[in-house]
Amino acid sequence: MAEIRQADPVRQLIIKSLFSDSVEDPRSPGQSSESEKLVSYLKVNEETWGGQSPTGFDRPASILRRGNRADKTRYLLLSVNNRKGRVRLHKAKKNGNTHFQIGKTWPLENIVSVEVIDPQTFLMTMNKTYCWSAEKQREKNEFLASIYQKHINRLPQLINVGDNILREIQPRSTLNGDTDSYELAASLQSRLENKSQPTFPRTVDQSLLNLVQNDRSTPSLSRGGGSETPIIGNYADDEDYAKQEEISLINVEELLNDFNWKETGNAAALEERLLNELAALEAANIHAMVESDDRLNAVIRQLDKAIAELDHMDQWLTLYTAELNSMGEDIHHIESQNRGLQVQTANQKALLAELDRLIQSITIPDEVFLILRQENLDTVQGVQRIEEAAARLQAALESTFDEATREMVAVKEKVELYSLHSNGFSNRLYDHLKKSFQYQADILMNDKSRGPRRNSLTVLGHETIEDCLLKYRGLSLWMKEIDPRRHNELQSLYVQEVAPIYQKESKEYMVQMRSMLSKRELVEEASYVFSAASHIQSHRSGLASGSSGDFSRAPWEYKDAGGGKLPPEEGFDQIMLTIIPLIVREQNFISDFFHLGNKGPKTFLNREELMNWNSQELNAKQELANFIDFGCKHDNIQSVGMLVVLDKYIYEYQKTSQEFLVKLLGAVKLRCIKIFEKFTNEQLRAIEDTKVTIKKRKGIILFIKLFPRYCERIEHSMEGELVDKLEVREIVNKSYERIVKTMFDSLEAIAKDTGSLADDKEQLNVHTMMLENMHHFYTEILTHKISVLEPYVKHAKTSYEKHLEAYSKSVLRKPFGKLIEFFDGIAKLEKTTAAPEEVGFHLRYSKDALKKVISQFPGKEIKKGLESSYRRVDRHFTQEEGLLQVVWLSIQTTLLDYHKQFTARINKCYPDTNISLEFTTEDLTNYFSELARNH
Amino acid sequence: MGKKVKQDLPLHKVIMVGSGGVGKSALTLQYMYGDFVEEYDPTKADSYRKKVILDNQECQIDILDTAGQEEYAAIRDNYYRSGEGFLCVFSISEHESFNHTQDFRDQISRVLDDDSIPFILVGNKSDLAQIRKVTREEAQRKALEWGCPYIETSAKTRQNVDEVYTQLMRKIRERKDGQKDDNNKIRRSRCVCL
Repeated sequence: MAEIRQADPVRQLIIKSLFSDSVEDPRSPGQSSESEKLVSYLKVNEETWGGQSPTGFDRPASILRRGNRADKTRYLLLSVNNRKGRVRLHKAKKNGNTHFQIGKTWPLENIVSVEVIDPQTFLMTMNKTYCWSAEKQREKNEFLASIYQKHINRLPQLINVGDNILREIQPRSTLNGDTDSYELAASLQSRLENKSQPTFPRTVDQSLLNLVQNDRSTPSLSRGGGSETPIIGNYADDEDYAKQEEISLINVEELLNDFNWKETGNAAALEERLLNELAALEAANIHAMVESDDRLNAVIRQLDKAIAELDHMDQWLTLYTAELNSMGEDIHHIESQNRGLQVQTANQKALLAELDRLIQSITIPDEVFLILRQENLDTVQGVQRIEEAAARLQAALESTFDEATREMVAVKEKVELYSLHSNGFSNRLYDHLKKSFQYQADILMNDKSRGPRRNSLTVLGHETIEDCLLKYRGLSLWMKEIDPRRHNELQSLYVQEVAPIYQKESKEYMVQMRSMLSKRELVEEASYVFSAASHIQSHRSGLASGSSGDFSRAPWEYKDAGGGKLPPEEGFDQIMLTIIPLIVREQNFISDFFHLGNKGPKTFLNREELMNWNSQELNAKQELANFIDFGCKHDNIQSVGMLVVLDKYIYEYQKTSQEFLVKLLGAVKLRCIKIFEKFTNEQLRAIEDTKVTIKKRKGIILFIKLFPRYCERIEHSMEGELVDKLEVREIVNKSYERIVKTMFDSLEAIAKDTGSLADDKEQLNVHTMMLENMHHFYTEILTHKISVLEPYVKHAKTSYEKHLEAYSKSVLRKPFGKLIEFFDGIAKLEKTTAAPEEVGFHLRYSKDALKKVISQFPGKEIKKGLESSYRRVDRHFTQEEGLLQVVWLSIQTTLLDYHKQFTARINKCYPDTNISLEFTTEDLTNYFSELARNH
Repeated sequence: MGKKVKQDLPLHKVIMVGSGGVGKSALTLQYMYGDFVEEYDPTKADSYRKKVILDNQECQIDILDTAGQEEYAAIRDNYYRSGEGFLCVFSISEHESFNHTQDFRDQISRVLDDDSIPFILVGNKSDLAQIRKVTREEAQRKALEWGCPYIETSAKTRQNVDEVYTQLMRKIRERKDGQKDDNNKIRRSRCVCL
């Protein structure tokens, strides 16, 4: 074996490089500190696991992952110190071809465990687990064996270390004379084999083994549960194993004693304590390692120094921060101050502008005042300049300052000054306008050319005044706004000045108009006005009714028509046509010139204005009223035409703002209505009076004859599409109704006036009058289509028919009275007797009586009676109403009816008597025809 | 003098004849008042007067509107005699009313003993053309036979209403003028005689 060793070149190289002295002469003790002797070496591949800890229960899997390994070639050297006999394990690497360098060194006691993984590879755990693989199994085994041999104190864990290795070790120990450890181990084992069997159950043993073997890994008791026992098995039959076990058992026993553990103790608690112990050991280990390094202190010193430096710097930095913070505050303060300054500047600029504006608005150059004081008010340019100046003054006065500004002394002073100027100018303007009004009014008053002219009937407008004053319109507004009181005074002044002109001119105009009106004679009026007709009649009592007045002429035609003269109603229309535009214009001018609002609620001022107007209105009203009175003096119906005219204009203007005009017209209208009412009342009186004054109660009564013409006359004044919408229509309708009612009442009263109605002749007269008059009324009034009269037309017709029937019967009663009375008696009797045949039993109506009555009326008598009746009817009905034929027809029919009735009654009451009237229907018709031929 | 003029205002007496319901009253009322009365109210008899301008001459028309359904024709004799001109009315929508015109014509001729009396055959209700029963030709033939005009009217639409009255009044006036001339001639001749 030595030969082999000598022959090994690697070994020579190692020795030469690392153990050169001791290799050549191991016995020379005087060698340097490196008096170490190489025991054995092993060339291995060191496998690392990428920083992953090779320990732990996942180790087998990690080991199998060989592909991940980064292998390094290393030499494991086992050396022994010659002096101390300390065996150490070195890990070296080969530098170049000959030189070796030791990387790590462990005392042999530090080897915690050795585990064989496969023939070449094994794990060795010191402070760290290394995985090394040898090139050959034999070399590995030899090396492990040598480690094993050199262990003296403490044997590392041997896992899966085959007995062949141990066997190899056996002979060598003798060779080396180094058997004590082996013997100790063997003795331990034998001792253990004898003793341990009863005390240590296998399971505990195994678990303990596992504990040791697994180092820090979490032990599991179940792992050792019987089935997995090849490792144990390996040891079991082996002597090595026995020795080893003994050693470990001794260790365990000591350990357990240390931990105060009894067999009955808690395994888990023990386990914990073991783990704690291990951790403490580890910490101590690390501490020992760290402590052992001198550089650490240096590093710590350096670190302390650095920390001190940093603290120092930190102090400085804190100082700087504080400094900077205080500076930041300063800067902030300065900035805010800066902003404040900016705002202040802006405010001051604004204030300046405001003051500028204020000064500008309240400052008025002196020339403005000069203009106000001295500029010519008569020229348009002058007025314009003054207006501008006044506007500036007003603007200054009315500048809307707030309270504070108004309190400013400068402003106050200015305002006072301007008020003074304003007042002065107001005075000047007032005086000037007053003078202008007077002057213009005087001009108009004295203008001879404006007087009434023969050819033109008109009132000239006041354009000259308007033209002259219009230029002051703006100043008037100024006045109104600045000095309303004086403005008001001006208005009354104006009205005062202008009113007399209107008064004069309208008076002149009316006078002129009056002279142009035609006059109506009472005689003409009598053809359609009841009162006039009755007046004439009472004076010419000799004349027959209906002969007064000229019925052939239309009732509105004037005798002197065509002479350029006007009927008053037309004249009135003309006046309105002339005056209304003037009034409208004047109102427009006044409201325009004085800027009077026509709309909206009336203020106190407005009421005053109206008062001003009223004085003028009174004049106009009086003038118009006078004219109306004059126009209606001879012809009251003119009031209807005037009413229509007034209503027409009221209707036209009532929706406009011409309040003054509408008021005026309304007032005048009242006067017209009064006149018409009075007139209507007169007519009613005249109609009622007719029954007293009437002489001949025959034919058409005068008022019935007049009424259609009366209507015609009034409707003539009511022409125009608009009329039915006007109030005048209602007024007139009411008057119609009143008249018609009165007429009907009077007619009846007249008809029934004298004598008893029992008188046959009187009765005939009543019927004649009624039927003729009613017939006249309804046939005539139908023509006029006055809707309000329709009920009266119907009434008249019914009345006519009633009286016609009564008349016919009454006429026949004279010749045939006896016959008619006889049959009337039978008719009465028929109602009281049970059967018609019983009539004949009454003495008065016996068959003989009947025969007697009938015999009294032979055909000849009938014919004679008809002749006399016809003459009578002919006498009653003049051709005037053309009713003769109608009445005669009615009489014939009545007679035929009688014949029919009588015959029927004879057949009914006197059946089978073979009695009949002595005249037949045919006889009657023959008489009628004969009568017709004779007349 | 004026009064005289008024009283001498020529008066033309027109009589409406024809069956009941043919529109005699309707025509009269339309002519007199310009109204059309839709409802039918059988007339007894009524007379109307109106002042009219006939060919620029003022005159008066007296219309006697008679009842159509009188039982006895003879009672008309009297008023026929007072008539100066006749409007003989039938309804074009009722053939019987047309047939009756012959009766009226005959009676008038008999009573007046005069075939030349102013007479117009009037076919009323021309607005009801859709239910016409009497042809225009038929009526025209009848008129030709009587030597009088035939005019179709509508009281409802006022078609030819004024025309029939005016035409009749002209005929009446012409006839009167002729008679006046005759009278004058007679008077003159008498004077000559004297």
